[in-house]
Amino acid sequence: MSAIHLLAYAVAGWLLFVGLYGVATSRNMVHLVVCMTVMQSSTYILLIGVGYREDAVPPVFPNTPTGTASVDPLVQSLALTDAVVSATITALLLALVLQAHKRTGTLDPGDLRAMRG
Amino acid sequence: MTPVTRGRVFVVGALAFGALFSWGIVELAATVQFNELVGSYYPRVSIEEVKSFNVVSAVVFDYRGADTMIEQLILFAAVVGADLLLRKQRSEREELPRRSLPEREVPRTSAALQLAGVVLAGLSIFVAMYVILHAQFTPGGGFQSGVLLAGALLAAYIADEYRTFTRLTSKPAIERVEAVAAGAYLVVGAIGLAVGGFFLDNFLPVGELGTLLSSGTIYLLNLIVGVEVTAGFLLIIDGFLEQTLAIRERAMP
Repeated sequence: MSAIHLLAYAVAGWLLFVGLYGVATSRNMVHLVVCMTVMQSSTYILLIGVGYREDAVPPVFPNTPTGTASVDPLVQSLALTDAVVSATITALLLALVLQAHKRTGTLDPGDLRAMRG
Repeated sequence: MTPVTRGRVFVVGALAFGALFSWGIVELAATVQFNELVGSYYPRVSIEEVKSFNVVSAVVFDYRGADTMIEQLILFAAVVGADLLLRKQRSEREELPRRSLPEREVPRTSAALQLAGVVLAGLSIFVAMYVILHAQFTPGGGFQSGVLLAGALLAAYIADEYRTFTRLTSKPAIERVEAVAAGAYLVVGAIGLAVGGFFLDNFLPVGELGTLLSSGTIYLLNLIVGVEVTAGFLLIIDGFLEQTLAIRERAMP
């Protein structure tokens, strides 16, 4: 395992941990949503880290001779589609937060005890 | 649950998570080396077979096209959900944004901000067009350029006012465009099934490497996704702007 891989895995683990800590201790639902996107970002770092390879070019070849070793394009495409999709999911969650605030007048998840119809 | 209990539960959970994560990483590093077969297979076939210099685009829209279909349906569902949640509720009314009310004189947007907004909008549209039209030979594609295009219209709002944004974007039309684009991906897949025998088969001529209309359905699907992402982000931006500027609680009778 090279140093770059180790760094990527460590950063992924750390992002997941701080995101989880934020979710567990959050007193504000907007903050909670942001913490969840931090957790999600860790998966991109992990994926890109898995596909990394020493002395390789990016998997886009217009200026590189064909056959040059490139990093794994599969994990990059996974991260690429999800980066955009997760932005819309964040918007959906923020819309939920907005309506919850209108109904209850609070943003603190701790105050949302009972379900109301 | 009190904050103290919550803290305790978190510490236990975090320790267990830390142990499992470290174990997972050690196993991952030991067993998953760079896979020479898969890692060099995609670049080779992407350039030879579908004439796409951008291997990521070829993977997204061809080799793993079915995954992308699910991803774009998730995007569609999330946008529909956000659009629904950001509608005017029964207890609310819609009013003209304050600046548009005739009796309120609010200073107009400063010339500097207007200029900056117009420059930003123009630049974003230019870059977005470049990114989407060259998806198969430079980094980029429909997902990225859709966000850029929607951002360009947001810059128009910054430069002027909310009504400029709504004039430039007709909500019912964008909703239809969003739905049609989401469906078009499935239609292209179905045509592939009918013509080539596989769902999402690359049935169009792949053309010449490095030219604008090359790589067959990769290019087509890339355009479809670009339209869908643009429409989706515009709906979301419009929803939030409307919530902030136009939707008010109905006065109690």
